[in-house]
Amino acid sequence: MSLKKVRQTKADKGFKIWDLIVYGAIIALAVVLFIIVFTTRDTSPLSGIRIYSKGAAVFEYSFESGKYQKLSEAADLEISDEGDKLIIKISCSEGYNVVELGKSGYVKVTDADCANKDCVHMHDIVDNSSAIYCTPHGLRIVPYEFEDDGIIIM
Amino acid sequence: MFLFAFILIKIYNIAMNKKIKSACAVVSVIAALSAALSTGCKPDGVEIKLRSPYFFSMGTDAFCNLPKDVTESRVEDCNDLLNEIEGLLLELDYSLNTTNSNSYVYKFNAAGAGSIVELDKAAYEVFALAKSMYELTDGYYNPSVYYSVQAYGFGGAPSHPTTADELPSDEIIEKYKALSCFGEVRLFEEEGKYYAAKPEVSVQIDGVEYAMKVDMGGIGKGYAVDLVNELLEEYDMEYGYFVFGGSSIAFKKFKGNDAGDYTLGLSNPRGSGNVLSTSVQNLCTSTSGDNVQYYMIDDVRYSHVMDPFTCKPIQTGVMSALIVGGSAAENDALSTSIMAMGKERAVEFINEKLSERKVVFLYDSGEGYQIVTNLAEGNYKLLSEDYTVISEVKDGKIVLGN
Repeated sequence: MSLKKVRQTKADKGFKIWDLIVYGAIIALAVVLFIIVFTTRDTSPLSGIRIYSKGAAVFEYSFESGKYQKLSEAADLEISDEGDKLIIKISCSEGYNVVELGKSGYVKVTDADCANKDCVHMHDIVDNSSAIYCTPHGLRIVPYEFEDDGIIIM
Repeated sequence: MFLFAFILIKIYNIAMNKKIKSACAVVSVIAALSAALSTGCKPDGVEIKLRSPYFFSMGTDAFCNLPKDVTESRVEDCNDLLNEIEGLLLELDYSLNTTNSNSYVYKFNAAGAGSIVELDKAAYEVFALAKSMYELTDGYYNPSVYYSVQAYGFGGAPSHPTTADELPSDEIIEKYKALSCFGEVRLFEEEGKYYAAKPEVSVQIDGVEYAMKVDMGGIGKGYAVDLVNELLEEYDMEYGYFVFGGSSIAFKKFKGNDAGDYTLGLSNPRGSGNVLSTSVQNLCTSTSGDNVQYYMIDDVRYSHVMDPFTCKPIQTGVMSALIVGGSAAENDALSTSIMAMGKERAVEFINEKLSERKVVFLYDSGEGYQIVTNLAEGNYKLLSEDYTVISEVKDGKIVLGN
């Protein structure tokens, strides 16, 4: 670096006014998003879950009744009831995911044949604040909330 | 946290001094704000959160529904209540579960004919209640049809018959009938301990000796519902409900209307939708039905509800029974008994012994589906055109129409 350039760099201010405005805006945005995410999280207990495969709802489980429902005849689902948990294998043309659904109120993906297995490493769903996604297989597992409508069917 | 912020500021200053084009400065400030928000805004880092209201016990699910505003305003109370319910259900599993090798009922079942088996208080109370229901129903409630239930592929059996040839033979059923002598079980207390003496009866099948076994699952769930109902009272829970296994419920009031009534619907056992509905609050209900666990062979329905006198699945035409009011444990036994009794005998029994309770049962006459109930007209809503009410209520008693 030439001596002239060194002197010019030393003479420059660290930040110009537009730098500060842009940085300030980024910080403000980050803070607002942070507050929205953390204050609007729904951490109420899990009432049920719904599984979507390539955009179509394929499976639903109600933790209240302990009952599950296949929502699509076309979906390739293998469901086994192991007492305190259900094991659901969802297959599609791209591969499979194995979902473990604990009747005490949790859901996780235990196995998949996608490349990175991100879905296997995602946090368990234990309340209404989280979801699990497997992008390569188009799989989405999301909570749905139970609402007491005052009607009970026996 | 202050130390963390101090370090970040230092990094920022160094970056400024060195004139590093500082995206890292922005990152540092965001990180500092994030750290402050995520750790500094919670009271001492303790997050109060409602525990799960879902439970699993005796091989089935339970759910305690409390209104959202109550769970938000009385979080600690609700958590204490839900924890107590969980503890209670675990204890009952330890007492009554037929598949838990540590349970008292399991030990009773494993003991030989004539053995005396120690029970815990809960198991003893459930046995005593079962005995009183056995007597009240003249044996139509009988928890000792265990072997028949298994032989027909229910009660956790690995598979069920799929052809008439695979059904248990009459010879085997006769042997199981000999073991369904629940009336001969003797209960007694001694020095603060509880005991059940098994009947001396045993039978030989293929060289193996069999003694009586019981399944207290049905009445046990109702017993749990009664205890949870007491807990709801203790915790001053005015609204919500507790449901165990889908067949026993303790109702408090519903918060969504002025009357506080829940609408209880009785589902159609031979199709979709509901047959009728009635309003309930602050009481317990139980149902039995032949549409939950069943299979068909040659157009004959084989359900898990056994006729204790034939030790075969009931063929009485009664498809389901609903009992409203009284204890859930008793209701579990009574609803099963009504299914086994058949239409005329059930009406006689309801009129004679259940006038304090509200009862509905659905009957398949072979020519149509019928409803028999001691609910007065106006206290229920008919929801299905496929069903006809064939009873009237006079002086609180059911009178069957022609």
